Amino acid sequence: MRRELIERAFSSIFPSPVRAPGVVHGQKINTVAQSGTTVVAFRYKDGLIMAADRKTSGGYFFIDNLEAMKIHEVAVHTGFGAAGAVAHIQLVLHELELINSSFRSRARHPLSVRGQVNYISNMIRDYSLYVCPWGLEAHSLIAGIDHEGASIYGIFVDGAVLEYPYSSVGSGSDQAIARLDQEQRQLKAGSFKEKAAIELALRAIRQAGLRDSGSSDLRTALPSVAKITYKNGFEFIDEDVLKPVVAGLVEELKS
Amino acid sequence: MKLRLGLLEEFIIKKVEAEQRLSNAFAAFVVTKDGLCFVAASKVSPVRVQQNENFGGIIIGETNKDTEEMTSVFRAVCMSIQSAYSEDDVHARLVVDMMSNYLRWTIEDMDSPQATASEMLIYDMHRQVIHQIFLNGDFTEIPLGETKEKQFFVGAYSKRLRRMIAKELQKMPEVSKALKDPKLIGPVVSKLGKLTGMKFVNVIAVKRSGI
Repeated sequence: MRRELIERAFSSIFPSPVRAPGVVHGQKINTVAQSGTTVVAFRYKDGLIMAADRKTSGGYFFIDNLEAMKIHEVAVHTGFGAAGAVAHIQLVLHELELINSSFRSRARHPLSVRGQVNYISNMIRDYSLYVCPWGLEAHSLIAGIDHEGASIYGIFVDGAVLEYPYSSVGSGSDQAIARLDQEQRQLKAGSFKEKAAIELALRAIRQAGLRDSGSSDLRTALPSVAKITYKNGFEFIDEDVLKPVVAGLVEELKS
Repeated sequence: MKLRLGLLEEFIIKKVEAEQRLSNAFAAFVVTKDGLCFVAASKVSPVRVQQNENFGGIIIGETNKDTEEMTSVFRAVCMSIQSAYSEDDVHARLVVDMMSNYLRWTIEDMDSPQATASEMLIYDMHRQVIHQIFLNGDFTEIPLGETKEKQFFVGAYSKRLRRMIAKELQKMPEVSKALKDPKLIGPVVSKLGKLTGMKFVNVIAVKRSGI
């Protein structure tokens, strides 16, 4: 076997190795756009639900944006959400979109959810080992459907990977997960219908928004909610559907 | 006047020499009424390739050195995909891409006087596509549903021999019957052995779960 020929063959398949996102080694960073964030994901009857608040803050000192999208479609049947430094999240997101499109065009098959998670986990680990000692500040949540069914994975800032029946990341995740835990039996069974699942996601985001300074309150920003179904893939839920539910939840608070 | 083609001439000589070495060895993918099977004849036992539930395939070569070289490449390819992505992402199309690149570069590698005399057939079980990878790096991708052909070859570079093999393969018994009664394929195997002069003739049934 001629090793150099194999290495050339591999280089045509895999994307280029991890790149530094404009952060010079050892350089002091003065302001970092932080996404304090609450992102939740869980299974329901037809697939998966993902929801997130809309606030981007500057190190908890000021609110930068109340219309930020924190969940993204990275492949037809895969959604991505993350909390941490915005630059690092965007790097991970870009890499995820890149490998999905390059793999699909090469293999004529979509990349499995486990494959995407494994790639990003390796990337985050390599980044902290070889590029930048403080690593990538991105706690990611990847939810998707492949031939093995619906699955949700959390990727920690050190590259650790865990699979969950339902999960939440970000500074408001404690509050959100506490709300989801109340319904854990149904969530593990994935028995919620779409309407109930959307309401539960919004309740979890509301709970986080009430107590966490990094997540937006339901009263100030309409959360983004997306569903991933076997039939139609990743779809954002229309604002017209969300508004009445949010109004009801806000009304509950007043009473 | 002799036409000088420089490097291209060298590549062609290496390719023709490798084809001559593979002239009698062959692998065929045969579509019978009730199933699919690989038939392979070689001086050395052909290597079966199977990776998860995505595809099944077979490697033939002139000698053990050739088949083992391509098997090592195949394993390295699968391992690299598995470590970067996951086991389920080892798809036929990726393997074909990498193996074909490797074979092309063995011909273009001027440090080596001989190219690797090895070819491959890979059947993609999900998409029902048969891939042929030839020793010069060429590869084909034929969807079984869109062709009337029933036999797909690699190797057997002697045209006359290939015609005779094709004729013989038409007599292949139906796969499900042959699986129940292996004696049915005995005459075909012995005739193919005589025709090609190859020591090993193997018939491998392709099932949904693997080969």
